[in-house]
Amino acid sequence: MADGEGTMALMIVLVIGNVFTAMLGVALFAVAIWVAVDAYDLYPIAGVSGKDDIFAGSWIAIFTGFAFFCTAIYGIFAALRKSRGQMLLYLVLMLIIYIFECASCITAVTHRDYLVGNSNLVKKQMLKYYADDSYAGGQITKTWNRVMEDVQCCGTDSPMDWIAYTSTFSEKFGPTYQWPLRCCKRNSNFEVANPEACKIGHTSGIFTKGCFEHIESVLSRYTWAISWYGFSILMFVFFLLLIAMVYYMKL
Amino acid sequence: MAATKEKDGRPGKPAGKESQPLIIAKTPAEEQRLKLERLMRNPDKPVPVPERPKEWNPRAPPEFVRDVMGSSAGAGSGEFHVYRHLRRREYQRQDFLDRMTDKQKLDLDYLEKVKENQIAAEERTAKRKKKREKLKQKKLMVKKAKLESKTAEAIVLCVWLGVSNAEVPITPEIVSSVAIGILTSTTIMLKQPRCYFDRLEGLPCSSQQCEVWLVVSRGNVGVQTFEEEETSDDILSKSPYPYAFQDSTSPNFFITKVGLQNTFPCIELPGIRYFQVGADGRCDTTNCNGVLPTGATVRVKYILVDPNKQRIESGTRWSEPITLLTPSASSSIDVSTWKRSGAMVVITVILSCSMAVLILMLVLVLMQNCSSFTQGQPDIPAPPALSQGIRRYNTHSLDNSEHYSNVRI
Repeated sequence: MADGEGTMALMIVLVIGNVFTAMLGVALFAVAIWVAVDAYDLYPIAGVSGKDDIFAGSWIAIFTGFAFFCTAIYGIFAALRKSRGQMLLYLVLMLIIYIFECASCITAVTHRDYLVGNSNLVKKQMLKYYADDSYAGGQITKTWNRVMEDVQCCGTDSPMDWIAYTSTFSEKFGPTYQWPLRCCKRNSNFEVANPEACKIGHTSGIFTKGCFEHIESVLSRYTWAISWYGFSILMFVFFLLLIAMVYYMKL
Repeated sequence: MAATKEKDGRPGKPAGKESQPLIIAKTPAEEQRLKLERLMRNPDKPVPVPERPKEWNPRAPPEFVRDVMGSSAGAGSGEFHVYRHLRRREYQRQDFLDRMTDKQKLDLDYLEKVKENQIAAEERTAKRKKKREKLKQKKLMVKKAKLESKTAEAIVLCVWLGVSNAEVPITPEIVSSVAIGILTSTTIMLKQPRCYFDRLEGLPCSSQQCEVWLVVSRGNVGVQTFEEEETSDDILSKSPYPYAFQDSTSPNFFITKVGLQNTFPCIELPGIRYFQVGADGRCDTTNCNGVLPTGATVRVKYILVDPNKQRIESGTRWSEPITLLTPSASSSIDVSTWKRSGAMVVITVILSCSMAVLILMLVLVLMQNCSSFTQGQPDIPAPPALSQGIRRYNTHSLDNSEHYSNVRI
């Protein structure tokens, strides 16, 4: 009798756990869609460097989120029907999805570290590709222009980056312009507020903040959404699967 | 009401006072609080402060000792106790005396220490005062000497004004750090020559006519080359900018016009005033303000030029050597030094371990599942006393109820 009660308890736990997993799966699906869509503002920075797996992780998470949802619903039925074969199928499917989701989390967080662990990669990319004529250069130039305008920043760590290193920009626009004109403070009608001050680099005419902080926080935000949220789902699913295995053995 | 309060003639509380609810203090803090509250209920009443208990002094020896035994008497049973008591008193007295002396010694030591510290402090103050006096004297002497030398210099200048190459004792400098671009790899922002040449007299041109020019020379070679050719008549066009820094045989200096002398008046003008060397970019006229070679070390000097005669009338001193920045190559930035964040390590390790555990558990479960199929039903233990041939009975339990009832869940 105690055995039967234990199995009933396990079944209830499994059903509730699977309902929860289904909801979590849908939420992961939604978050991953958001990351994939929203990220195309800053995608070139990751894409040009070849380390865009934060977004590859989000694509995988879209599929695994939906798959979690479907498999969890199937798991509810398998637990209620008390059939061994169905429980086994449920376990195997969940394990496969688990492996894919692990891969997504790990790759997202590793690539985020590579991209924005320190400012070197972003700085080198900016110096090399800004104002370059290639396709990658055009993308980077557009992205940086938008970032500099929105966040009101210049350079990676500061405008000194443009002076301290050689760059494609300095080769093209030479000694006349030390830094791009997007670094200059502008009026509300987009005119440069003080061209002289911008040329010499006075704080009244140029943005002195560096853009790396913003880029790092945005990319980190996407990564934490995919990897930490995925990690928490996986921890929950881990315990759920252990309980499911115990239930399967008792059936 | 008053009658009921006075029971058995005991004095009750005076009428009009309400009884306070009985609160028992559970912590020392609460006890203190209750006491304070009681005191504060009548703040005008003086608080009873008990006197300090008297210091213990050793008992004075008694004036009369009763019941003295004869000197030849033997000791009775009580003698030991008498002796015991007087021994105790004696030890106490000795102890008390020792403590008193220790206390007095400590007091005296403290007083002496205080005195010594005072003396040391006074000594230090005196030493430092002497030092300060010395410095003050030195400064006064220097000021006096400067004043004397200035007057001497002024006299000398006045005497020398007829000759060219007069030097104004001012050193050109970079503007103080108000902007990012004051020193780049190809340009320098210098302070404007405000009021540099206004004290000179006997010039052939007025301040509306005289022009201020700038000499930029690279290294000592440039300085020497310029100073050798300073007095020649065509000095202004002697070293055109495009050929100034070409190779080792070039003059390594060029001269460019800054402006009229009266555009740099002595009064303070608003805004940031600077003169940017290299503002014309890569130009090719003789006296243009072109960019300097990257990373070069240059020295600059403002000169006062008479435009009619094209001669140098006066000049400042040479500036300190200014080294332009050498930008590093962007390919030298090392992208392999990214640091692994703690989050990445945590996520990777925990997820990999949990994945391995799950796969292992699934494999174990499957193996057990397969082995349980071949063995029948091992979860029901075989009765130990029976042999192999006797049929086994399955008990009716809720687990197997689906085999025995027609109620489907």
